[in-house]
Amino acid sequence: MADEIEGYRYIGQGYSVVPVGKHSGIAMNITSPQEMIKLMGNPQKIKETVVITPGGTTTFVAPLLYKKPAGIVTYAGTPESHLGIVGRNFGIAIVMTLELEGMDSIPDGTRLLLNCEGKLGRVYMEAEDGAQSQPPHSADGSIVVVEPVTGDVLGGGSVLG
Amino acid sequence: MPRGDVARRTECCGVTMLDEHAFLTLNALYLKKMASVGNLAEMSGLPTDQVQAMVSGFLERGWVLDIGSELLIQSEGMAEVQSYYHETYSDLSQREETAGWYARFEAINRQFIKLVTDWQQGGGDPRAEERVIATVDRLVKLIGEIALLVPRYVGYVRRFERSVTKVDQGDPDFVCTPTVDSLHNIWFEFHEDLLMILGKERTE
Repeated sequence: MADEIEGYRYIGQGYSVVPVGKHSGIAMNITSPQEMIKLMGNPQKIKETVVITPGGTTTFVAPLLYKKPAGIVTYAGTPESHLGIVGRNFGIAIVMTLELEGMDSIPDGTRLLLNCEGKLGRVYMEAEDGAQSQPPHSADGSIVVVEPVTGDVLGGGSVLG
Repeated sequence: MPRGDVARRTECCGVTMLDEHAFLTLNALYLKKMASVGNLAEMSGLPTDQVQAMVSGFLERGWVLDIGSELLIQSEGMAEVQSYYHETYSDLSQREETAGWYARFEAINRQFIKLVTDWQQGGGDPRAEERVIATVDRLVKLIGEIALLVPRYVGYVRRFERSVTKVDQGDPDFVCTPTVDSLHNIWFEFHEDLLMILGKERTE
């Protein structure tokens, strides 16, 4: 059973390329080198984007890693790949061969959270219930986790990733 | 070549296409998608001022986009490169010897990717590094065979040799760091180039 994360709903898991903790961003499906190049021309948008490769090939999005996207999700491939090698170097959250649960695809514009710890990468989407709080984000897209209050000790915030 | 001029030659069948130096420069950007003029000179083996002059011509034609310190290939530039590959190498993909050569490359390619992954996950273990370099040596020998058909491939051998020397001198960045001309970068670009020459789609 995947851990619950407040404000998000678990949607599936795959291989994590590198254990970089939790990172969030806005989903964008990239299906061709042309779409990839268009996104590369907008460095600020890349940093906020979780790139999704909906097809069977993954390598063509590797150049995007140079501009540090919030994350990458693929439906094929393994960490032993060109994409994995480059992603490991840049320390970017990558979930490969995602197996979705309860949905067939991730629509563009969905806020996602990738939890890359160990060899498994879990993917969450923002809960539709707007009443639920959303974890605050640091400038680099990582999640700021506010520790629960225990006893009379007030835990401080920590940045994962 | 005058600044801003993109040399082209006309084939006997009437097809107009890039000359070899213009192709080497634009293809370097095609393979990397985004790169500086310095990167393109390093990859093509051409003098920086010559590359800069050709890039000016590419910019005028909208084949590349200047995004500050780097250039980004555009659809029109990609089409020029693809046209060159098609016109120059389409007969290669039909040859039986090429298919056999590519099968041997694929086996080495799988090994290389695994070995580099092992090297990364093993914290730069020297034995893993030796195996990576031995695999690069095998590819260099293999390139020697196909360079008879594609003479410009000696440029990849030159880059591999330079980066192996860097690794031997104790600079681990030249194994697979993406921001330098590392062994993995060169390998990746060579693989892309090969797929274009043979008209194959990447399956990974």
